[in-house]
Amino acid sequence: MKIVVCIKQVPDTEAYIKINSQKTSIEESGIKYIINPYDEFALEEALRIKEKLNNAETAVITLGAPRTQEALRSALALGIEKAVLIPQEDFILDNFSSAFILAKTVERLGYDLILCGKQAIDDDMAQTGGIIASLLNIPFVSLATKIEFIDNSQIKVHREIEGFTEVFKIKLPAVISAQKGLNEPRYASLMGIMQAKKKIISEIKIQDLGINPENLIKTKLTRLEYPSPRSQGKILDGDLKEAAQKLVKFLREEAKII
Amino acid sequence: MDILTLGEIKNQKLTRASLEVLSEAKRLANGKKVINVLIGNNLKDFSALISSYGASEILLIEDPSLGEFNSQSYSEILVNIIKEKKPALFLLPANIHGKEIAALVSAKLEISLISDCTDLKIKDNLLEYIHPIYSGKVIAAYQSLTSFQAAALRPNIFPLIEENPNNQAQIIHLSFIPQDNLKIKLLEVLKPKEETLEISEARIIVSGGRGLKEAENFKLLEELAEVLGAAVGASRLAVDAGWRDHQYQVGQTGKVVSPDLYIACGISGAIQHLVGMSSSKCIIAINKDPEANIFKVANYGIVGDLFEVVPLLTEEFKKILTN
Amino acid sequence: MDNIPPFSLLNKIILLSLILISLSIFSYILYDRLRLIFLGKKAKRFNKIPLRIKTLFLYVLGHKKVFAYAYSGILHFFIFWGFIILAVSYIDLLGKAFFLNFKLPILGNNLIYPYFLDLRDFFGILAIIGVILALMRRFIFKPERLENSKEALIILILIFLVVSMGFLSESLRYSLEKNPANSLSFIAKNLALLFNNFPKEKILLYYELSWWAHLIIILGFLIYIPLSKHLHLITCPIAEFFRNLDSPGALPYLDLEKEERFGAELFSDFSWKDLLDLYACTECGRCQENCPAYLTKKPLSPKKVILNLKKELLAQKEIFKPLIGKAVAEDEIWSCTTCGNCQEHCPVFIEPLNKIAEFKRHLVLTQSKFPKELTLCYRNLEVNLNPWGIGYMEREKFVHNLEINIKNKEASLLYFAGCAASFDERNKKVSRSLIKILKSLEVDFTLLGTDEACCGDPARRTGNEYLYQNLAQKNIQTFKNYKFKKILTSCPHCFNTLKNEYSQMGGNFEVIHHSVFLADLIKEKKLKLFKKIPQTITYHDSCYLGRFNNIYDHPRQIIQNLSSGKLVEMTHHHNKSFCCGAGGGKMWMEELQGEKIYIKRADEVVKTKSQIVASACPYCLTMMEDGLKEKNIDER
Repeated sequence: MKIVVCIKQVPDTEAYIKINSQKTSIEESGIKYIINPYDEFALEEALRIKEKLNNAETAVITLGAPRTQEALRSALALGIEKAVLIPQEDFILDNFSSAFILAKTVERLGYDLILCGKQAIDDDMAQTGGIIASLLNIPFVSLATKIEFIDNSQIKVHREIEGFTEVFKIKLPAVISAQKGLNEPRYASLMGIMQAKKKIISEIKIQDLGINPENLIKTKLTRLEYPSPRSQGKILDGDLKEAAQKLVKFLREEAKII
Repeated sequence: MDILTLGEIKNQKLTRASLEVLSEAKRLANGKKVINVLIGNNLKDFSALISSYGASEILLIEDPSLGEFNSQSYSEILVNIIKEKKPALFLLPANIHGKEIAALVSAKLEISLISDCTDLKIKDNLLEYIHPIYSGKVIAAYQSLTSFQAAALRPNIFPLIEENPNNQAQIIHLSFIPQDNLKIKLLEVLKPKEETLEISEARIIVSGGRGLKEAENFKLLEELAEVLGAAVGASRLAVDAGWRDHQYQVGQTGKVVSPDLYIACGISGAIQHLVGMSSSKCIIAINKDPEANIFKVANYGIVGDLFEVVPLLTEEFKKILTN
Repeated sequence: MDNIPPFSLLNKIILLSLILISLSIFSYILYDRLRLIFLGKKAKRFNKIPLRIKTLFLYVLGHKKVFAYAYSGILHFFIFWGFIILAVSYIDLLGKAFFLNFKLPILGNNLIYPYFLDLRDFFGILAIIGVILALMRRFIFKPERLENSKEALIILILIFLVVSMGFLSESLRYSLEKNPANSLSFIAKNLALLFNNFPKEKILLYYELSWWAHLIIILGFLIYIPLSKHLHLITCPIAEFFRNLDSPGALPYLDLEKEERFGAELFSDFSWKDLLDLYACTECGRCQENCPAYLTKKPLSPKKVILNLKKELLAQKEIFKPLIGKAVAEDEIWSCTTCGNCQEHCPVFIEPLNKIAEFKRHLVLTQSKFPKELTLCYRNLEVNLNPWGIGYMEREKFVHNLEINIKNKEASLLYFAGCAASFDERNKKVSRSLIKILKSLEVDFTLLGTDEACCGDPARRTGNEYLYQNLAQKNIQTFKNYKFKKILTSCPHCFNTLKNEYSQMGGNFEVIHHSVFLADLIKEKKLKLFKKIPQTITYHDSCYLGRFNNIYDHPRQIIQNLSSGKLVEMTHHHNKSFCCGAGGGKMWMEELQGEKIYIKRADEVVKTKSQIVASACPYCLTMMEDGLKEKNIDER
């Protein structure tokens, strides 16, 4: 059983996001990077499957700048056996081209189960898993909250949807994207960190995959801007009935939550 | 060129999100055709409603095997239709099923996809897709580089157009041969458990703190939660006082939540509580102390006695939600 | 000695064999137990020898810490000194049995010897009084900290028998002798009157019987010492000699580069001093009686930890097996708030805190097994350098509109605000006030702003030494780029870590806590308080300020200058202060077992009827406010 986890390194959720002067991307300085939190559920699930099945191999791959090595190193510290970095050159990739590169890499590594997070918390697109599945012509379930093995070629996947739970039966190989609730990610032990320091992170260059990514880009980011400043908290007092009505109206018409 | 939309049926009803997508398609179509696809079992009843939202063609793919959602067969059907109809744009709701299908279909067709759009604009004759990134800290605009393109639209954002009961869409039944070699199958749909709603994945949380004074008073919050379909959370002090079980504790040492709506009642806003809920999309605070910390993170606050405010809110929500 | 025939050769041989046999048994048992100590790791306990010798005089001979509990102190002092003197007299006794003219050096001098005998009798009486007091304590007063132990009863009876048999035998001997100059001992002299009417032969027979009985009891006692908790007779002086003379606030340094095992899983992971501690425990239970975890019905008792480890050590011998889950449970380990009361009150300087810390290290660093709430805390510390995970860029926001020159490398005072004072609204009031005072006094100070990282205390106290060292290293590097002379802290945890622990990693800085800083300013009349508040105030001692750093008076001085009302003490104060429940990283964990510590402490506050509770620690402040809210007392 070969399990490949696709991860992404993203700015910490608390990071100050500053748009650059050309409004085409964000300023990287001062940003702390973390493994995309949803990808951590995917990593944890891979480890749990490995611990349950005795013949499973785990690998983690990522596409990105040299700093993404840290993310791979952290994954190794958790117990993932193999890490592959696909260095991203200067050009900007979109979801399709990134997923294409990942799919080709996974293909090269061999796979029975591909895991990823439900979405990256930077671009919030939630496309990668689906695109990889589609390109590899294998099934895909997003937002998994439980994965059970029926046998070596079939799994059961639970997914929460509006309070209900859908239970899918899937033939492997497949792509599953992880949702919060799938598991509780572990914390790397110092033993793990020390061992990870000694492991080699292999690199696969995009050119070596026989890809010209520029031909694969389907979407262009044209502009970044800040949202209109979130209205400062409105505090109401006085007539409470009126306040309650205003609040309900706000939630329905402005915040559009109810 | 035409716009293709995907309608979605849940509990024998066309979802509001599908109508929002139709409405946006109609706005953008500018005279061109809006083709709505419906996949499922027993679909005839919906055509009139879809028509009234301005669709010019309704494609129905009916089969008992399609009564349940199946990402593989649904996306294969859509790929074939798009290949045949060659629409300029494919729109669908950005909910769980929609996003799953959008990714599968767009990849198969190798066309651009922008998920979770909050706005579509026409700029210099090109479509500009607006999508918030970094959890809404930045708004990004995208353009497609492919002539066919796809977008998933965030629900509850796009306004519905006025219904036009006179519009008559052409209804086309497409044949479908069920595959028996599907790689994915929906085995069952489990009903929500009867127990109190879990807080970690709830979309709305009503939470109570010391201000509730005793365990009994959580009833008020439960009533409000029931109207909203919300989960009930609690601050550490309320849990320590034994009014609520620890699994409902929101905060650093309880659960860290980020629902769409968090209603904090009688919670002062100690740091260890704030870090557990401050990433909620919208925070409502009810507290009688105008100096309470919770107001610093609230989008909307009411200074007043929660024993008065909460029942009023329950009543107001009831009014609009039962309509 | 006319009437007492000298020892026959046969008797001498029997006596010698008895002594040799019992000494061999004693030595063997002692060796068998103590050799296990050498299986421990190295520990630096051979420095500061004069201080260590002083410890022997003050704490062993002088019983300084034992006297902290007056009743126990007195009874133990009596028995202890009774025994020392009696031990000397036994040498005399045996010497005389072998050699007719045996004389103790110095004491055996004809001029001194009678006084020595008086002294012996006097201390014998004291020992008996001690035994009676001890029996009364165990069987009448029954403090909870003492368990009903058979060993203790046996020992007390043995002591009683040894002393009384000695008296009996001596008085019989006296009644046989006609030379009063030889027997000045006042007990024996008076007791001897009882036998005046007895026939001489019978007295002689009784004397010989009692002599041998006395001897056998002594030798039996000797053997029983290493077998029982009275091994402490031998181990305590050694353990006290090698006590920790470094700051009690510093946990042992763990060299992550050199060590291959992190923390303690097996006995061999502990230092020899840690293992020696197990044998030194007298089971007095003072640690337990002061332990906030134990007192709130949590699974931890420091005494049990030590005793269970001792039992396990004797069972395992040199075949080491994992201890966690067997000799000590995980929930015991995680119940510890590291308040330090156990080692503060241990009369023989045992360090339960270090042992629990080593277990935590093993669980976190090797097994990655710990209460799950800590994961969030650790990740937050890693990424945003504070336990709450608030964006690190927000750290300097709390000084807004105070107009301070932050990150000024030339300033002479560095105010290390710490996480609570930078991020928590309530504690920002404290740090902002402190900054206002500094500004009004025109102190040349600065803050690190976004360069500041958590001091590392939450990581270190919970066993995550790796994360702690990363944070400490980061701060030390930053400090070295500044020219300040002194660091001012407002959080006792930062204070303790910076002052006592950073030096282990090459960061030697002068650190001062704001309570000392302000008290000094008041004393020097630089800081004047114009208006006194009228309320009565009670002061809650922070563990890390008080017990670990001996700062008790400064905060109280400030309060007395601040208020015209009374300063009232709670039931537990100064070095007996009761933890707020947040130390040892407990701030970042749930307290699910037993009663809540902070509520128990709040009860004490309520009892004082004071209007204000003062605290010099941000954690305590949070916990005390929560505790009082829970008691439905909002503003005080």
